Amino acid sequence: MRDALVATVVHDLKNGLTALTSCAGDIAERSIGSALESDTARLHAATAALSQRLVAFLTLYRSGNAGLAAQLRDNTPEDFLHELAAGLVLPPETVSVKTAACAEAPPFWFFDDYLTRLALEAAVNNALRFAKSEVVLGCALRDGYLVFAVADDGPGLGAQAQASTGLGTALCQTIAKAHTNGERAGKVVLRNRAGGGAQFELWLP
Amino acid sequence: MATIQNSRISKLKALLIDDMSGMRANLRAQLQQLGVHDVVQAASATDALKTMVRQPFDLVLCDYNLGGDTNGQQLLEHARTRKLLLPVTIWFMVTAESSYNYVATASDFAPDDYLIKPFTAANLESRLMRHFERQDALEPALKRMAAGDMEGAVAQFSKLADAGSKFTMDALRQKARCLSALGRHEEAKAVYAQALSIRQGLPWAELGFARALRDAGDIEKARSAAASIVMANPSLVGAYELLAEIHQARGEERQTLEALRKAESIVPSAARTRALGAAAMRAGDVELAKTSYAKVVAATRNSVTKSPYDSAALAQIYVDTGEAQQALEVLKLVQREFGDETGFQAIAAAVQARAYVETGDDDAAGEALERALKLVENADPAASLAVSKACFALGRGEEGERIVINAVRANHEDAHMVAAAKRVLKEAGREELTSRLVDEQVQEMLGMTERALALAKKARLPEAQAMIAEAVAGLPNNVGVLVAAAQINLLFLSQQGLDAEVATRVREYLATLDRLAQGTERVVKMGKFFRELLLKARAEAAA
Repeated sequence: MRDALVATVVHDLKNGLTALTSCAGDIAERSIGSALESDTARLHAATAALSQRLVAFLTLYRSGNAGLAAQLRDNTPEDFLHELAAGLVLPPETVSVKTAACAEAPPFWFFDDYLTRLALEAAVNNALRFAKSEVVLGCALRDGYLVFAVADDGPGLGAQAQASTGLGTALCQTIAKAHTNGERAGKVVLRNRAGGGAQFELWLP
Repeated sequence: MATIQNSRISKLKALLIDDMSGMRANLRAQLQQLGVHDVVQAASATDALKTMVRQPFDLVLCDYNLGGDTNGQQLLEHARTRKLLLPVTIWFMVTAESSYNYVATASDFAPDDYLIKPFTAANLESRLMRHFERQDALEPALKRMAAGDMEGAVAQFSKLADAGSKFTMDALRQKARCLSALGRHEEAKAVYAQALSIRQGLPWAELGFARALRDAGDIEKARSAAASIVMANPSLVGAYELLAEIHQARGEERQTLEALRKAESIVPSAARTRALGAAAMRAGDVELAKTSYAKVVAATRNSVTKSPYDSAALAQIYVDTGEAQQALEVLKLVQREFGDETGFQAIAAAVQARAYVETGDDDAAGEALERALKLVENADPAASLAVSKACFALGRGEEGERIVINAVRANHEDAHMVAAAKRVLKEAGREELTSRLVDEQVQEMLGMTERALALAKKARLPEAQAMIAEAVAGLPNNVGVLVAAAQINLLFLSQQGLDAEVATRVREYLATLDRLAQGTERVVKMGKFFRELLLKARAEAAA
């Protein structure tokens, strides 16, 4: 009963927030060029981020003990990254998010584009909190896995771990695990970059 | 965004289907951001259907959960079946994250894409662009398919798949479909296997492979393949439907019912409930048949898909179970509306005759039977059986027998029909007739086969060929007749040289035999002999 109540309330909140985000987007769009441009863009980004976090929570909450079921479809990784980048709603003062050339990516790969988008959005939001000048998205084929990478040029891993609620990490782990191919399952890898900064990697079999 | 509008998107005529006015307003605003202004809205499945009948759309954005009895998936199936969508109509299903898994695995009658709430105008735009890109890449092949040039389409899809482009999987899937349509089941299997080697466990490829096994006549392997698909994908409707077809072909009535019941529970539709009702009738499960047809009649009462034959089936079941009054009421509701449906009117009159016998109104019963007898002359076998039942009920057994025998003679290859005829005779206490009436036809064809073989022995090949062709037409799935047909025509080829038409006929006979009696020594030997003849002819032509 309590579980059902929580799910219903969160669902209601999510729908309300979706409408609010859409409305904020509309206002932000119409404020372009006006004195309110920056404020409305910030409003839109804040509602979008809240909405995204609530969806992340709901996804994890629903996954329960059984984990998530991934709907595997053939997607083009590079197209997928461009779509992801185009769909991000970022506040005006934020650093830029770029998509690197994906020369080593396969023409298609099987993954759940919805879940993968949720995971990478969470990773991007996390990276944005630490990046100094930019966040770079990329993808490549490694050891029979498709690897999506989110790299920042912040202080590196040690500093980030303390600042996280763990929601994003838990979501990414669950989504990675939902992707299986025969015996192999997906995984999340976090590493420091050689030239400084941290890199989040989602490995999909 | 929306500063640069894509002209291909902005030209789209769109239909929004959602029961929540807030969501519709939201979607409409997003479309406007993309420059789409020609937008029609529908608040229910019924509204949407009415709108689609009036005008075609390029894009349909449909929420999965429509609040009423019909969901987005049912609406999509319905619209496709009724051909309310253009070949190029794009159908995007909008779902909540919570129901996406269920929705996406439910059917191989899939929409063009899924949009999971919440999404932005930018998301919608990129999905549309992705769709256009795929459509453009596949268009040359799809055009050939639409023109009926399956061979050409296969070549085009092969080219796309071999190029290793991002549309490889789409190309493989379509190529396999074309090969199946061409009856090249072994090649279709190979293409599905190729897709599965790229990604194991792909539901559409597994299902396609199982279908190709069935089509190639490998029923046992097809059955176990379909069974493992439903284990791994418990909500894949198409797999249950395939399983039902296989069980039906093997005469396994209970399993057929189980599979159909499962399919109907996953994505309910009038067509699936109807199929369940028909299978229940065949299996003799009168209660299930009654509830199924009652459900169809109620569900389609105000729908354009209403069929008087559902009411006719339900009325027959009522009268069979002694509920004469209900039978009469069911018919009254549709009889006027479908006045020019001869087959239905014949059944209706026959059922009324039996119902009036039950209610003791002998005059009305006699009058209804006269009407039924007049109508049955031009009606289908199902109507004939209904009318013959009425004859038996009114003590006019000879007429009843005559009608059943004629119906069976005209449709003896229809196993369902023959089984239904046998049931009618059994219920009328005339079981002894059943073996006679079915066997008569078979005996005639077998006799013809004997005579054809005798003619061939006397070197009167053209006569033998004509006679055996007639026997095959009468009993197209009889192994003995087919073996004789292949032998006679092979004899012709070995004596008279290669004749394209005769060779085609032999190929057809052998293909059917392969399906019916695969691996039989005689069939294998004939196949080998045929191939040798072809090789020899080719070598001679080259020399």
